[in-house]
Amino acid sequence: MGFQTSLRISAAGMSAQRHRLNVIASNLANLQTTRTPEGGPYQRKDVVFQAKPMVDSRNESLMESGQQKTLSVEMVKVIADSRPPIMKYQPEHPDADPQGYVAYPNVNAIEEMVNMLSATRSYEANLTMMKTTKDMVNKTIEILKV
Amino acid sequence: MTVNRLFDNTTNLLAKVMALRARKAEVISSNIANIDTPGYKARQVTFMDQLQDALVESDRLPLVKTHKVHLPVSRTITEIESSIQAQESSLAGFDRNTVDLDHEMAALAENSLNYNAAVQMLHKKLNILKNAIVEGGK
Repeated sequence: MGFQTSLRISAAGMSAQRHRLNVIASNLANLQTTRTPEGGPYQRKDVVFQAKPMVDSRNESLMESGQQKTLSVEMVKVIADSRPPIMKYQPEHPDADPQGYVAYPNVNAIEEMVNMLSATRSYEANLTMMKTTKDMVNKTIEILKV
Repeated sequence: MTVNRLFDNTTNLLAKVMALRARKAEVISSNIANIDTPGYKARQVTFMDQLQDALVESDRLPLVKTHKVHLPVSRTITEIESSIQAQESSLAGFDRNTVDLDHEMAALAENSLNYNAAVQMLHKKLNILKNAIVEGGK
């Protein structure tokens, strides 16, 4: 426990935000995709984060007291957004339905940009935390140089 | 404690402060990592009150627990433990997450500055000790 735990938690936070950024990139890239291997238009994807208790093999028994557990974070799954596709009247499109409407992905570019900024900021906050922890460790090591 | 022959009470206090601050850094990193976790409650570490009490108490005559049913006597510096509380906040977003990033970053800065100050003081104390030993040998 201590600084290693801090570094591991920050790393987990950065990793989770990077996964989120990947999913956002995929949403933006598929803004106009009307064909997918599963059939139908691309469905917007989102991530589910979950707080995860840190497990320390050395003193697991010390960490059993519920409240005192240190929580890390992990991405548990990628879910598909169930909002309906956006219908556009485009009778000339090969994927148009008999009424002439094409189902476009339920992705909103602005919403994705906002999420992207949020993920970037969160990533940076984790990075700052990691830098600070490293500085603290370096300072501690300097004690030995007396 | 046997190390007391070489290290005084201040050294013990600094060591304790460093340990508590390291624990606090852990909880702050946990809050920051969970900034986008739905339902996560920001957690805070407190130990300042206990530390103050222990410092005041260390100037008095020590009370000793002589029977197991005695009320707990006030703790010495080395016995202080940090306590963690989850924070309920009315500012929670729609995902019921109560992490306030500005607050966490400020706490992070304060914590690391205080930690570094403790390290610096310990460094100085060890230097003084070293000086005494080196000069004594001349």
